[in-house]
Amino acid sequence: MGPYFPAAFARDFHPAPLPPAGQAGLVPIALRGAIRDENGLIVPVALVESWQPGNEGRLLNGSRPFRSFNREYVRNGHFSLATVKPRPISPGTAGGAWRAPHVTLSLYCDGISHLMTQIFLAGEPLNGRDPVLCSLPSRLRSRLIAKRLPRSTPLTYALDIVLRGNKETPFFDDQVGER
Amino acid sequence: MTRSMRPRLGRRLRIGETDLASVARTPRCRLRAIPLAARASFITPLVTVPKLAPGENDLTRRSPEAPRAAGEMILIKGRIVDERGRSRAGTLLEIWNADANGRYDHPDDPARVPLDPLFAGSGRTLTDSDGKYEFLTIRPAPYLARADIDRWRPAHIHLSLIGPATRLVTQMYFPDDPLLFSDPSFQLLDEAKGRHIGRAFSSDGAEDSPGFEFDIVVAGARQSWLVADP
Repeated sequence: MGPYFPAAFARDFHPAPLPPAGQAGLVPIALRGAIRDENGLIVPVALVESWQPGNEGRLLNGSRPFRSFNREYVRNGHFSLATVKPRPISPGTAGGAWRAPHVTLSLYCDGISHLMTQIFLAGEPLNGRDPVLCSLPSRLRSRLIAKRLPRSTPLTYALDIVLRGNKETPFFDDQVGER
Repeated sequence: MTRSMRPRLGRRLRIGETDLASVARTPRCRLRAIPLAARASFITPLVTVPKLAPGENDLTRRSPEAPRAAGEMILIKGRIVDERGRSRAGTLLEIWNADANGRYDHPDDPARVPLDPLFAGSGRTLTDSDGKYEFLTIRPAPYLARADIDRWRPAHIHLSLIGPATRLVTQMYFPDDPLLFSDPSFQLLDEAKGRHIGRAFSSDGAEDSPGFEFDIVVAGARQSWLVADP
């Protein structure tokens, strides 16, 4: 992507409409974290985009569908995505498996072409059966599970994304899937 | 562990040599294969495209009434298709490039050359029903990516695509640019290198500005992104 993604492009693409707490069972949350390189240093500039299939298209009051695509243009290495708490996905829509609540994350920054992963939430019972988490060696699963910050308002989860090295985040191949 | 849960690995991303950011940020581990049951969740959902103002695809001036920026005006046009050649209509393209001096309109650009205040630097458009797009921009100059080793990046235009089941950020390079041979980002494209070079055409428009054609294929064997089967 290069280091000079225009700030003007950051103005669009936030989950819309963001419902007040409780509407259609959706809970506003924040998903926060820092992006770090191999040396533990903050990656200052990044384009972080996310969506969540579990709530995508849900009809809110006024029959407006919820659009979960979110873009944050990170300038100081810390992202904070304002969205709603992801919901589990039943097998019918997920092609044969329950999915634990998750947010799909897309990352562009200088030095990499594109990275994708999914972020899960601590304490969710379906984490133990989720196909994405279960596809990882067990010692790596916690690297995709965001911790809940107690007494936070809005409800806040936190997870750092480590691009390389010690505690490297698992990333998924957006070009070649499982056959 | 059942067979369907056996871990599978995808590509190993390669580091761009002399690209200091790439050295520190490219994952060491191979990418993981997306399990079949999760494939749908990795695909970009329906995205509400923002309303575009007239002239947003003209980077040569900050508004339709403003004077034009310095440098060579070029038309960039192309078609977005999937692997079967089907048009990708309604895809949002965001583009940006350096100005005629190789300077980006961005607070982090350390280049000492002056910024052209007339150059918009970035623009947006939507593909039409045939998947076609076009932009007017100023041909960018190369820029000095690493002053310590005198490494210049070849002239290039950044393009970001957001559309139905499409999310891709790519770069268009210019033919016959000698800097391509030493550019780590370009060389890492391997067999895809040719597809990232714009094809020059001579315009028959009144302003006689040259242009470059740049088609983009999304998904499939030549894919850059997963696409949901219709």
